[in-house]
Amino acid sequence: MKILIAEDERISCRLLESTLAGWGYEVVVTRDGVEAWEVLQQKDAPPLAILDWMMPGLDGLEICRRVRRAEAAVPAYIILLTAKGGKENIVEGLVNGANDYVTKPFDRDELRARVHVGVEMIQLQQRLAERVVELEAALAHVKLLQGILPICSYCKHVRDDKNYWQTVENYISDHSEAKFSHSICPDCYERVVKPQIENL
Amino acid sequence: MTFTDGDVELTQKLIEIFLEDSPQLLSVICEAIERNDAAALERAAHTMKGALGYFGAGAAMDSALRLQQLGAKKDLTAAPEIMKELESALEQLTNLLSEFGKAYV
Repeated sequence: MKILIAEDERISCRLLESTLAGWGYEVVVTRDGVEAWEVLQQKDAPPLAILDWMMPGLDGLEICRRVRRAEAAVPAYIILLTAKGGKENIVEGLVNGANDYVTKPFDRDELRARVHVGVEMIQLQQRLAERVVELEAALAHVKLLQGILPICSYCKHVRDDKNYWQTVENYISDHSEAKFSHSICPDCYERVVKPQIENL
Repeated sequence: MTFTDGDVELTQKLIEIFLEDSPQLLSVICEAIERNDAAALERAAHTMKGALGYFGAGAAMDSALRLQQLGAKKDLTAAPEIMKELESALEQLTNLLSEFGKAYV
């Protein structure tokens, strides 16, 4: 999985890059907020971003806001990297759209655990997004069976959108996943089948 | 250095970066104080503090933090004095790191 780093302080940047690469991630390095935002808008943008809070150009917080406003199907999972401590700063980061935070200098085990949570969240969202696409396709299919259908008052054939009259069961078979198993209802048994048997 | 998980090569690289970048950062801090530019001081001191954090440099970090706080408060009256403290703490750290770097070459 690709991970974006945005960090202007070179030691943190290099350490993050080496650490993440060592764990098998493909690392995309940016050195300021403007560059990071450009990468995040690309088609194959990294799904996880580790952003420094204080950066020249755009700060990490502003990127969080922009990512949330963009409302992508699978929005970037953002870990804010900050030397700032204290509850207020953490709350400010999370309120503005960060998913998590890591304080600098970062602890390897903590970073690994937090990145892992992010990766799991991204995979879950990707699976959900795929399900939504499948469900939307199914819903579009179901919609074909809604609306007004012209039906013959006598023979009960229905007219499809190609102006072709067909039996109700053929129409439903063509426009849904339903299959018909033929049987005889009690009324028709009395009305049709029984007289035939009696006539034998 | 626990951050590098015993990777000597990476530790050396980080030291090299620090030795390259810290004089520049220090001059940015110095210029910001001379220009009375609180925002620039806050940003540069913050970056310096972040870099120092990896080397367990308590005294230097403390000076950088105080400079950052002065920048945030936009009152740089005490800044030149703290700047001197930072400068001397940095000198000690730089000497130490240079020795460490040589020891592994």
